[in-house]
Amino acid sequence: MSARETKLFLKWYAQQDLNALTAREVTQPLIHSVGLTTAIVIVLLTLALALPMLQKSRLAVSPLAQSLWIGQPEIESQEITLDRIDRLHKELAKPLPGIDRYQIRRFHLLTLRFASANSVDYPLMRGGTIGVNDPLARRMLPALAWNPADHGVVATKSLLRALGYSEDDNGPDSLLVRVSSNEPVMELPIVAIVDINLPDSMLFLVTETEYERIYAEGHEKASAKARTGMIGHDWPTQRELMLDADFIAKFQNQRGLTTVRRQLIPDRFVHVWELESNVSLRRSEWIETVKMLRDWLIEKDESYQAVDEFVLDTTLIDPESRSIDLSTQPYRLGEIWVADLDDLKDASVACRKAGYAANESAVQQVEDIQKSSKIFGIGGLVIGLSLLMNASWGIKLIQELRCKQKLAEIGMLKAIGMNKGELASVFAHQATFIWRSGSKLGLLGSTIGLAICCLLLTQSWAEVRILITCGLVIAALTLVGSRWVIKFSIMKGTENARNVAPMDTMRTS
Amino acid sequence: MSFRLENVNFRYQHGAVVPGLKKLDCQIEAGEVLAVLGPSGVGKTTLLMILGLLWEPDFKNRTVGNNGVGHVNNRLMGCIEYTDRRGNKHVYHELSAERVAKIRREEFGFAFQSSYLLPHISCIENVAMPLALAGYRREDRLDRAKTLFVGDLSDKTEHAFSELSGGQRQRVAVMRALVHDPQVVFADEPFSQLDERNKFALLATLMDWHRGSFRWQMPDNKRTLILICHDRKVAAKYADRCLVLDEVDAPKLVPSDSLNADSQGND
Repeated sequence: MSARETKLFLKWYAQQDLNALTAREVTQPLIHSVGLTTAIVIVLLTLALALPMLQKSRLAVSPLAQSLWIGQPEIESQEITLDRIDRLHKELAKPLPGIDRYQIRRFHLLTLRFASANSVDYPLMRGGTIGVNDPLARRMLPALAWNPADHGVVATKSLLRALGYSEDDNGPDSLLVRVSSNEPVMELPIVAIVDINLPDSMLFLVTETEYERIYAEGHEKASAKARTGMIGHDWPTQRELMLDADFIAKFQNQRGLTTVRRQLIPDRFVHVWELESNVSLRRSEWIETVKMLRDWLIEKDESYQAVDEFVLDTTLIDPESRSIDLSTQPYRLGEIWVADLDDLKDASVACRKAGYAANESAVQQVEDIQKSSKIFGIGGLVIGLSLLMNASWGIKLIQELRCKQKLAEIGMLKAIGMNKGELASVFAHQATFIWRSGSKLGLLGSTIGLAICCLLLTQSWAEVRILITCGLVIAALTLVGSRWVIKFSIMKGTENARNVAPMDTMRTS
Repeated sequence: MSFRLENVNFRYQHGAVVPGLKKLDCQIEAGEVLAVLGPSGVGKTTLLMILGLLWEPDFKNRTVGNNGVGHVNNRLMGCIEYTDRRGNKHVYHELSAERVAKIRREEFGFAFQSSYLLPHISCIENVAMPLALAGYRREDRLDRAKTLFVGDLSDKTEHAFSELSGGQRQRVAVMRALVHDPQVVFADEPFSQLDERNKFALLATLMDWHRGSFRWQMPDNKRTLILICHDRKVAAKYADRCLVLDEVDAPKLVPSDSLNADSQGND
């Protein structure tokens, strides 16, 4: 005699009881109901969890979603000066410690006049430059970023709309541009059209190569141009470092001479390399110190190979006489890029503390997602829990009804010595069986449901993976939860029957 | 196993006293066959269920009165005491729920007016159920149960309960009460609806158990049979003593011999 044999018997008896024809009439609908509820709960909660994540992942891949813009005229921000940038660094470093969590880029804006297709007007448009291997270019136009041969303008759809082109058109191949009213019109090829939510002050971007060409042809500059960045990141490249060093050496050797043979692009004059404590090496360029050669022409494949002579203003030879350190000049536009969308809010607060009002449309987008995530989460949880509670209540009632029908049988089992614990274990076995069978159906149903959701809602394999991961997590939680719900409901539904005295059941039956 | 009942009263849920159970005092000796007689509704089955611990006292609300007598839910009053085979005395109202279940499982066997067989398992599994609860291996319990299937039941071991006649069902139910060789069997008119042939077959099985005729029974077991019946001839023939319950008079414990004269006189 052993307790194990008793346990085996109770398990066997529980299964036999469920297999009985009369029991099947109850258990089969119960199993189907559990399966359906499980499937609905899994699909619903998975969508509640995954949809905000899908939204966020889509936002994260859009080029400028992780950027805040400061210094825009329409926001009436303060000028972006280096000391303020340092303060911004300090403010950003508090909530976002670590060098990889954010980056700051600063721009001097470029102003060009663009002509529309049907008009002779040349409305003034502001934009910026986009260089080879530029982080901005890499995010917006990865192919362009790695192709130094490409030259032209990257037009936004908003620019084309402003110029009178329709949404349905593929757009023009090139745009007519006048740098200033005195300059001749030139034609800029469009290398790409992007549909992104750029700040209003950046309606177009001119590729670095094209930018050099414009000024090489002798057009007036709309503004000075400066680039800064972290050494060791993406800029400057090794090639640029080498060329600059070479040029500086040549320039210094040629001090006092009136001509210099230069090997750099004509409007670049490198004169400051300085080491800043936390910001690393910075490079500034001030192009207006060198008078440009009017007939300069950059061949497509020889942008860095040209060798020509030009006349240098002798008054400029002595840097101290007319040197203007561009690093002291304010920038017109700054971009704060954060590695994680969730950090945007903190970055925005840090900007405000540093005295800059940031364009918070990106923050708003993230907050909208977080809000919808909460709504989806709470809604999904409420509906899911309601369904589980409803199922739990249904199971309890069904069990009560079934126990009423089986009261005499339960009384007899107690009369022959089955105690309450053993009786409970019989019902617990049955609950496990119902849960297992129902869960199999539920998993099948939810797999089909989520497969349909994948087909309808996702746009990439990454999004499918998000949905599958969420589905697996929710399915695991639901199965664990539903096991307890079913067990609790069944035990609750059989509680009275388990506690009733055999005498009462047998005398009344 | 012997029982001692002292001043036992039992009330229905609505408060009225069960007519036959008023100040019941009696001693039921180990090894005897006691027939309980009386008109319908007098409380015979109630007495059987109280003795068989099928009336579950409210363990949580159990109280003990000034006179030391257990009062359970204010429905059962008086004292019931049993003496186990080792001579230890136990008072009913002091038993725990676990102990009650254990006694029902190991010491008692029940045969009711209805068979209460489980419809979804075979006859032999029904019979072997008390052994399963006691932890016997499946082969052992089925072997022992099979020894009880004799006569016209010998080929019905694997049959379902619905495939048996009323008499056969009742006999299978009695087998279930005996298979674990309990100390006491409570039989509540198990043959009330049976024909003569089935009635005597069933009584023969009960008496075989009482005598310890089955090979798996303990040799020196003093088995007690408490049998409710309306048939005075049966009581006179098989019982040692009779407890006669009456709606008006106090319960009487009489030798079964005295019933012979009554039944002959009645006939």
